[in-house]
Amino acid sequence: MSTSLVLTLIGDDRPGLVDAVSTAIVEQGGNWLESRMARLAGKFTGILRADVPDANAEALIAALRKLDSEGLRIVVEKSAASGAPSGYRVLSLNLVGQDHPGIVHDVSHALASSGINIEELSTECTSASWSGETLFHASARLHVPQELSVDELREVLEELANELMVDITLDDAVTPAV
Amino acid sequence: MSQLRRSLDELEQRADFTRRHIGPSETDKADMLELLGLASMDALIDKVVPAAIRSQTPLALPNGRAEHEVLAEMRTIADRNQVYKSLIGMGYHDCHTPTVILRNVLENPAWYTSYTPYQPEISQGRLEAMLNFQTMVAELTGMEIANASLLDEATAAAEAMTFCLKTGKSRGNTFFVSQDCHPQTIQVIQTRAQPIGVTVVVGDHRQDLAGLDLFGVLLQYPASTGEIYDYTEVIAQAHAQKALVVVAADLLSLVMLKPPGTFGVDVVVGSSQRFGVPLGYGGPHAAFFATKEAYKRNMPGRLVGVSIDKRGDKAYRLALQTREQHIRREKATSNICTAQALLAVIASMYGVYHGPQGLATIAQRVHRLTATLADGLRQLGYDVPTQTFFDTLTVKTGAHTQTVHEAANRQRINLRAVDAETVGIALDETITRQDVETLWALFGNAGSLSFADIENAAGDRIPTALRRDGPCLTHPIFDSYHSETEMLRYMRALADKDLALDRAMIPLGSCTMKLNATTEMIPITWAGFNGIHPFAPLYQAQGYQDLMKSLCKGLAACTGYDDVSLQPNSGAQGEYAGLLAICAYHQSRGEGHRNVCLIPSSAHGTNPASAQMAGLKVVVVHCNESGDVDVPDLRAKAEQYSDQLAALMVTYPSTHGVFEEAIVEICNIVHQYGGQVYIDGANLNALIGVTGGPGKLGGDVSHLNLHKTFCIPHGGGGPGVGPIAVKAHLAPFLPGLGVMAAESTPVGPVAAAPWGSAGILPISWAYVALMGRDGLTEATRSAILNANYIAHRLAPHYPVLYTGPNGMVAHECILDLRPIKESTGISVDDVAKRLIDYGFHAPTMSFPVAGTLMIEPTESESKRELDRFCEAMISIREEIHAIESGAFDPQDNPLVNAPHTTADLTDPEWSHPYSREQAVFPASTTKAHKYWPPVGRIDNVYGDRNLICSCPPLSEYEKVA
Repeated sequence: MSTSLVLTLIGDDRPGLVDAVSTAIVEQGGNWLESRMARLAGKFTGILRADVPDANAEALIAALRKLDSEGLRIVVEKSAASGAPSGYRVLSLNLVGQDHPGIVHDVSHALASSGINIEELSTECTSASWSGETLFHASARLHVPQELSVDELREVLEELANELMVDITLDDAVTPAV
Repeated sequence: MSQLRRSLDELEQRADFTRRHIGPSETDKADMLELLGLASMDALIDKVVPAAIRSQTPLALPNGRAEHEVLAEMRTIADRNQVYKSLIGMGYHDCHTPTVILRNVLENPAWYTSYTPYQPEISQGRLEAMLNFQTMVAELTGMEIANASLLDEATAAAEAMTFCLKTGKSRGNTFFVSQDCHPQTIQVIQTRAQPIGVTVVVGDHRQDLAGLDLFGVLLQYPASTGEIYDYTEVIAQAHAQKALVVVAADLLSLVMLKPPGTFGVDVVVGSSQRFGVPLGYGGPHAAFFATKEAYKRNMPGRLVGVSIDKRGDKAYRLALQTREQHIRREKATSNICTAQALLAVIASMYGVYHGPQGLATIAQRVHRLTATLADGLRQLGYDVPTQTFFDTLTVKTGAHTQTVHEAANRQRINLRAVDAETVGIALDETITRQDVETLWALFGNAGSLSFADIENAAGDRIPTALRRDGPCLTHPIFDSYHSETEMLRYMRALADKDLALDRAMIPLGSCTMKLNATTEMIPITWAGFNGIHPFAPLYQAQGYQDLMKSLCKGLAACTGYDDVSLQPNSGAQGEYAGLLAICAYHQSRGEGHRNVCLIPSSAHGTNPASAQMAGLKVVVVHCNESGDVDVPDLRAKAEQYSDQLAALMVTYPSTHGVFEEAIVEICNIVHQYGGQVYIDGANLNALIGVTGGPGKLGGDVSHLNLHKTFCIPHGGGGPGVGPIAVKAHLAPFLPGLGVMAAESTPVGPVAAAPWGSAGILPISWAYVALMGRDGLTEATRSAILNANYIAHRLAPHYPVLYTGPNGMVAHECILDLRPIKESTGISVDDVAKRLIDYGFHAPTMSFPVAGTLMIEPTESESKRELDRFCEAMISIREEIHAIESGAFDPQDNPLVNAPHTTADLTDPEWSHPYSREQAVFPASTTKAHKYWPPVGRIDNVYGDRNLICSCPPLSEYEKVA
């Protein structure tokens, strides 16, 4: 049997960080599964799931913690793997608008108030074509309670969009995120 | 004095215009070529343009001519148009353009050569004028918010249809159109509805709504027949069916009528043409779109809003710009990305000039004369079924119909031929009491009628319930400039705030801001060109028909195509019309199932939006690292979708400003799998004469932006003109002439006027005539030289993002500022705003690649201006170096604080680590000639979150003054 480990990592960006993590995993017979990593404002940061044989789990955790001395702080947790919750429908949300503080807060607050779980969220800022303004983009995968109708949710989001002056679209998530 | 005896040919200066249109002199060119390490212009073109697409034959055009000769010929063409008094109506009415507006706006390069106000700090003048337009429309229609113009009333109505589909709560699929709407509006809506699967039902609004699965309703107010209906009940019924209601309204009638906003409609559209804009054989005119505050984010078109600058002072800017980002999306319901800015400015100035009292006087006069006309006609025994009206009547002429038209013709008057037994008459502000008497005489023996008696007895024919109560245009801006001196100074003050081509080069990539020569512009305000109604009989527009035929021939010669439609009145409209032609072609061959449109990832955002509107499914083709279309990916996708492949949309030279070697192969692949090739003509300025044109590269259809390559000025954001040129096999599928069509056509009209913005086609015709075969080719060569000169000079300072395999660019170049952003936090926006301090309009920002600047100098800029621009860019790079080296604070430096205003300069508290002089006079040339931005950096977020899209209260003006 294998154990699923979930990691977050952060450190000053330099060549070799991914190599250091992957070396530790390979050495313990582990398998690198899902991950997202990026350089943000000079820091390298990421999230990762790796499977490792039960017997080696503790050794891997220890090896990863040792990377601390190389300037990479890692938090590791064993996952109690669970499938997708039932009684939810999955929707994808896309948002674009002029960047200003508080967009994620207002949106996440509205979603939480409606009992919606954010399963995935990614955001970025870009320079708008022609006008050069800073645009904030967000895309999220949502778990929406079955009892909340899509029309109700749209209404909540429409109100929010007017308040924040952003555009929000809501679609059925066709393909599950990998 | 030279002893050389020059030839008479030389002394006649026939090619003189070419050297005036092209910026660099022969000596300059030699210097520039030397810098590029090239021996001659031929060597430059050999190096830049791939051999496979080079043209071996000169353009099939005569050579250029002198300006006075071309003007003389245009005069004879204009004289072949016969300016009748056109009382046809149908949304087009003659008017008096106040001469102070004619000369100081329409004929003033400070207004007509400016660009779309994406850089608001240098556009405050036209933004104020457009805000006046929005305020005027919102007040007259009684709606909460109005945009800063759409292309024409029919396309505005079509936009309203898709707006209702997107905005409304109804799940219905039917759009009801009253049979009393203008015929061209109905036709454009039908064209637009078909590819997106919307059912259009045309019928009687009083009885035909019930039982329909509606999402929207379109009504005309007053109706096309002239009748004024009370729509209260039908609006209630439509709303009960969850449909939204659109009213197409006549702006002048609204001076006297109850505004549609007060009876609960959701959208009001219409044309502002009769507010001082000449008929121009159909355009350009500014349409409007007004709606409720709640729907603002779904509103199509540009919207001017009020915000504040960095000092907290009032400043204007384009609001809700993220709506334009929609255009990138495959879900777009609109590809609108232009406006009719110059015409909206004229209409708004007409409102400012006349004010509420003046407009009321005009409206009441037109109405009085119409009522007098109606009563006289009744006394002559005619049945005038129009009971309530503003300015338009329908008259039952029965067996006399032909006689009436013939009599009108003899008096050089056009009436509307409604049908074989009915004529329509629409009066306008130019009509006099004598004209009414002349009109009576067309119908019978009017000798017995006394104008004075009938006029005296003529009452108001507007239904009591539908009379406007209270004044229109209550904002003080419409009551402040009624003396000509005041008006003159107001327009001058606004123009002085803006940076247009009359002050400095506008190096916007993908926009081709070249010279709009005076000789090209002069004829457009001649009566022979601007006094013709779009639905006037063809024999009265012989000059236009000749000019358009000749222009089409010239455009076909320049592009390598066989046939041209001049109807589309914007580039995006052209894209849409071109795709409709492709779809109709496939249908005609029994292959109507072909519905996949391949679009490279580097394409302009309007491409996928246009494809969506044409009912096509967009499949994105990747680009490789050098920005070119990834040919293996294209081949794979063409093969994958071979059964469904309808078209490829590709821009050439690429949106990255590079001549891709593979273009011929790309076209062949698409043809091999049964698709048609749409070559976007945005970059045509790099092709004419040096290649055979997009048609010879393998394209089946292209749209041409006459406002880029063929010298129609940008007008501060429109007019645009986007004809489409096609190979012979697509010619039957060009947009139909609609109202003027002799027979039904496979594709309906895409614009209200059969020949689009005909009124400004003389500009492009004159350009082709003046430049001719050699001049047009030399223009292309010089545009390529100028771009490569800039790329070469700036490359040591900013990386040039894409070049061809030879290290050269085409007619524009992209500077990559992302490394600078990474190292210093300085953005393209900061550089753009700092350029204002140097007296320049910024290049195109973040298109086609975010974080870059795209520069297109065009052939018209001289070496001196190119050098001035390069030196400004180099000097800005040095300022960035100072941030990198730590000499400047990353949070407080001349870039992040740009642009610097006189308020900054005179601020007693100057705390910046650089001098006032460095702030406002960064280059020596700025001391001799300085452009002062009227406002500092504008806060866009504040403006959108505190959205105000009409003129602020007067106290705001006082504060700034």
